[in-house]
Amino acid sequence: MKKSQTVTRWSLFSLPLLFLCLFYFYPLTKITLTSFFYTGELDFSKLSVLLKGSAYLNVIWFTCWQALLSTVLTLVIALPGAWVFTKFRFRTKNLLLSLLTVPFVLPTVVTAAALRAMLGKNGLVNELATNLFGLSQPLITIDQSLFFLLLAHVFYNYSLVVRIVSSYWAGLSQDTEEAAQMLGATPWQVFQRITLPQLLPAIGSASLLVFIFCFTSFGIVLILGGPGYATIEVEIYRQAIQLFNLPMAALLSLVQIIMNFLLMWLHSRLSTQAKSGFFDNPHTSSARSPKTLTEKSLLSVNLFVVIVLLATPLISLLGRSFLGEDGFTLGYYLALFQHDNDSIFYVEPARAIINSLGFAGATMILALILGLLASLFLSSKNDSNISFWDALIMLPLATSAVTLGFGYIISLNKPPLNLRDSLLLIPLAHALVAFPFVVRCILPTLRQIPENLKEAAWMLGASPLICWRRIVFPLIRRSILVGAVFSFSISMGEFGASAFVARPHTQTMPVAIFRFLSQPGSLNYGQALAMSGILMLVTCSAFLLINRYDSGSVRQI
Amino acid sequence: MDMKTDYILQVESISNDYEGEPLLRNIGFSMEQGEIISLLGPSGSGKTTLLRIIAGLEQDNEGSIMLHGQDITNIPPHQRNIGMMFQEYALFPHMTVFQNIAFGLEMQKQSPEQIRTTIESVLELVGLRDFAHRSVGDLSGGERQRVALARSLAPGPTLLLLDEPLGSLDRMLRERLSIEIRNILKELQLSAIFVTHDQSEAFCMADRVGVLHDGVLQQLSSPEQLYRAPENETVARFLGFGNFLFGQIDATGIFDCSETTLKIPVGKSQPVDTPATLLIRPEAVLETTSSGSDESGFTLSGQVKNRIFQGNRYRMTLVHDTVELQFNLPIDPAPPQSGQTITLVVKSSAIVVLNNKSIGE
Amino acid sequence: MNTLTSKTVLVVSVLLFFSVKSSLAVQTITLMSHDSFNISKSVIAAFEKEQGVKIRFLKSGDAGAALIQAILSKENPIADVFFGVDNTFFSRAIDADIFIPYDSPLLRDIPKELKLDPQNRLLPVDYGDVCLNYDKGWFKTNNLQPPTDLTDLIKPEYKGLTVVQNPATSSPGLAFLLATVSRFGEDGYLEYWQQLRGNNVLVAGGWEDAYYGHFTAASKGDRPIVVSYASSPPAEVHFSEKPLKEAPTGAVVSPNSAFRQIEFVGILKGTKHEALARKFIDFMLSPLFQEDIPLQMFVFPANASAKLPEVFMKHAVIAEDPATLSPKTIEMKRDQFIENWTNTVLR
Repeated sequence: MKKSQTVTRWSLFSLPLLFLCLFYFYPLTKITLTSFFYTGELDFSKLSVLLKGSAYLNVIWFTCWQALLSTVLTLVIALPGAWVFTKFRFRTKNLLLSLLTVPFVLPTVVTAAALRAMLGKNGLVNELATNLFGLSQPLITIDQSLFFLLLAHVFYNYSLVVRIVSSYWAGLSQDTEEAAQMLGATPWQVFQRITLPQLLPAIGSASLLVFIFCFTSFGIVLILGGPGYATIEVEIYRQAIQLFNLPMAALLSLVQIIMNFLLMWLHSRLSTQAKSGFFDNPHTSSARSPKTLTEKSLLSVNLFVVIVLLATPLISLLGRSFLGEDGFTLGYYLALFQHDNDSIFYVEPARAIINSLGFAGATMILALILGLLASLFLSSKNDSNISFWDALIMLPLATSAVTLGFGYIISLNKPPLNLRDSLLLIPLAHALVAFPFVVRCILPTLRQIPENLKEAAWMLGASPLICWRRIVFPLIRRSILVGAVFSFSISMGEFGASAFVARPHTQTMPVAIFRFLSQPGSLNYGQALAMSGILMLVTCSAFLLINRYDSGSVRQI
Repeated sequence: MDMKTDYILQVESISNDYEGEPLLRNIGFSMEQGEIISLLGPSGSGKTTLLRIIAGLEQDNEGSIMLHGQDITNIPPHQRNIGMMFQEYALFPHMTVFQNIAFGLEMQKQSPEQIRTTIESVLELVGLRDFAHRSVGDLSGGERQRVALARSLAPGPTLLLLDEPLGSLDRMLRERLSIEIRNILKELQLSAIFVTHDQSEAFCMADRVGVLHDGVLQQLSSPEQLYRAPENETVARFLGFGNFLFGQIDATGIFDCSETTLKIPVGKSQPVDTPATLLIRPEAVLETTSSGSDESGFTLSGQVKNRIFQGNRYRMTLVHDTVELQFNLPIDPAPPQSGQTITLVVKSSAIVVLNNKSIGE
Repeated sequence: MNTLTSKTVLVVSVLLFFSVKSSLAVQTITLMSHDSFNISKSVIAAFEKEQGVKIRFLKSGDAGAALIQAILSKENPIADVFFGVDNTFFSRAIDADIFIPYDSPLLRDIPKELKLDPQNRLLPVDYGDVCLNYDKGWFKTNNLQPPTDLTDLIKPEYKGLTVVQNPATSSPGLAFLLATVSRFGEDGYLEYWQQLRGNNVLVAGGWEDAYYGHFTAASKGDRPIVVSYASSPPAEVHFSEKPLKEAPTGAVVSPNSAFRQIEFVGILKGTKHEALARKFIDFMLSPLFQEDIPLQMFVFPANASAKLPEVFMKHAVIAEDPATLSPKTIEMKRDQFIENWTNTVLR
């Protein structure tokens, strides 16, 4: 019995493991070795700079603390949001949640434009202030500041925390909160002493993801933080591409991987030790309309923050895509359809949408399959090495896109794995980043499911497969949806590693946006905004569609 | 309602609805210091909701609640000093037994020594002396239940509410624990309301039992009173009675059954010539030649359709004309086999004239 | 069950979606290039029809990233032809020894100063002048003379008006830094940047961010002077929302203030289609392709016989006397220039 269980577990894990070996460890090892020995022998002179100047240590230090600060800030803003989205029902809830996940797919340049439209020197806030108070200087100047960088990180990661935490929160039994209340605890004490500790697995998961994203932040740091700030990721790019110092790039990349590995391992150790709560049916939606004045005002404050901080930049971006020289225009959108320039890379917007959706759909399915298999393996309670494996599968998320992209080009180049100029490489590269993500979404919930539940199903004559489908799957359904939403977004936004993967030209929406932004001219800028508008719309609709599975399951009960 | 101040709890005209559907309708009752009341009812009868309203966990309702003569209707639950034990115990999974029980005491800002002494004594009380530092995940169902009880007792609540406290335990354990809980509550002179759907549990634990049905408190009285004189058919049926006869009572105090030729004397105090429902409780004895006709009872003969041996009694199904009635007979002397005709004596106290309509219909 | 089968269907259809394209039997040659490469459909179609081949395009990130990928895969090249080595990366490409020399007959139409490799492993295709652009409207409304030279930027009245790109992360940024090195000398450029910093120069991460994020003429920016290309003004006209008579921006191409970026093409070592690759390079240097370059990539064709489109004739300027720096110097000192620049401007 025991032995066959072990065999089953490992055969479940074999697919994710094989995937990781082929598309992660193999390319990574090869590029690391190639880089170190690029000049024929290990060239220490190129590496010694790391220890010589304090510049690199500063970069490492900055990378750590900005990531930590961003994570804390995101948690502070997003946890009240998670509470609101878990506990209350209100109109526009689904729409708002979908909209808030949209930043995830927007190219950094577009996000920067959106945030600047609100908070930039000539942004809405400053314009209002100037008109209202007759100021001669702009009220706020945050462009190219640390604050702007942090704000952007919050902007990107807010929905990540809200979605992961609230999908878990909804499954927590409310009884313990009420029990604490009956024992004389004030609402704040209840949250602090009862709810928060029970939420820790989900908060840990979400924080880890946010931290890694901010740790490996590239575009945001470059554009919004300005050139005064550099993360390890930026430095790797600079070393590899501008300075062609491959050994140094590889070393920094290893530093990045090792630091994150230690962090992820620590996280995993802590999360497996966490006492799991008693499971509640996640489908009996406890969300209700706010009743008391306090509840109503807390909800309003939260929604206000969300809308002002996160939704208005998106809406203003959409607005600007309709704003021509003489006011309202559909010209930019129309121009997308009637390109008279005859470029070989021009495709109809519909084709770009289909391409994006195709890649995103493929990525989502691949990531969900791999993520579920890996989560099942990792949810086992009697394996002392689990933390090692857990941290291991998270590594792709924490690996430099430059390194991985270059790794692909030198490793996946011979049959049977001659994929480097195949379109298949794109969903593979996306799934590599997306599937650890899915694991982080699912694992906390999966660990909550009491063993006896599965045993009970077994005793009722359900085969392990049926038990899985009928018992486990419905219980983790909400977490799977969160994983689906984000793996979809990772691909839609051409996130991470894929940026440096050579590929046959396929016009996706982000690629189209970049093409427009690479040339001067108001029409190009307008079309980039219009395409961003379409990207937002398509993504948002896809999220709403995925969310339907959620409400559907509630109705069944 | 009588505003006697020595009532520990007065519940007045509580009504509540859920998404437009009425859940509770005009509930009112009072309880005295040290009393144990059980709320009995089928699922969906609103009994848990009533408990949660008293606790303050549901606040969207009409009516008022007085605790010790003080109106607590608008006071949040954590300031009511009411203890509550939840159906699935709601133990804090991230805390040990000790920390669970200490929680309420910490909320009262007791000193660590005080807390330790209190916890020792409540653990002693519930019979879990050496369990303080166990993790709650490692406990058995019965142990969890005791920890939950200890946790709700520790802060010394004015009133204890128990929501199906024995619901998920097996029958043997349930019987033992229900007596144990009653003894503990009585020892502490603590007033308590507990919700259950199990009649025997309610009868064994409570001083008074309230039957809730369709959101209405149909009857609240002592277990004996409830059993002897159920207020109406709804209550009677819920208590498991099945012998109902429909007919009229004439001026001489004779019940005239409309389905059969049965005529049963019930006394004159009833309203005359209006439709009436009669409950015949199943206790009866065989008519023996020696006893002759009993002056305080009424004899009923019929054919035995069914005889089931139930250990301490026989369950008989008797057919009289077209009516089937069920009786429990002592095992000594053994009643005749099915097919035979027998005559039973039913005490007049086992014949109850019911209120024709249940409340709320 | 249903979700499982529908998933399978989805997987299969997605696999089909990907596999259809890669299974073409026609002979193909692959052009590897950076993301900004662009050309007309009809031009490529003409070549494909004439030679009976299919051209595949492999895009591999920015110019630097694309070149490194080509270098890294030299054992087993990923493409036949590589386009997009510019003179700032020229020596790196030559040193890596990844190109086959090809003495194309069309080289004779290309001016001598564009041909940097005597062995013709890299052949010039186009060039563009990285220089200052300014917002004509802004200078008019603010009653200020537009800049005419690099030295204008450090004047007090130009304080806070300029946005440049970080040479560590942007190729026009590097080109502009090289222009200042050429102009003020290796001893003098840091002093210039010191003054520029004092004059509140803004450094953006890349061209997109500088141009669309900060340049007043392109969006609601806050800087009327930006580092861009001498061909940006005609692009502004060509891609305007409404037809324009005059370019809204101007380019500064005064002597020794613009850096000429030349882009090269080469045949990758190890190609299995060398003959076809040669034909394709001939084609890229021929007038048909060359005349298509301006409106697709907004740079100037290397072939002197190629006719410029009208919008270029009207609105484009060419630096008569661009700043130059030898590729050897650039490759050897790039790190040092960037490091010094970073220390001077950012730290």
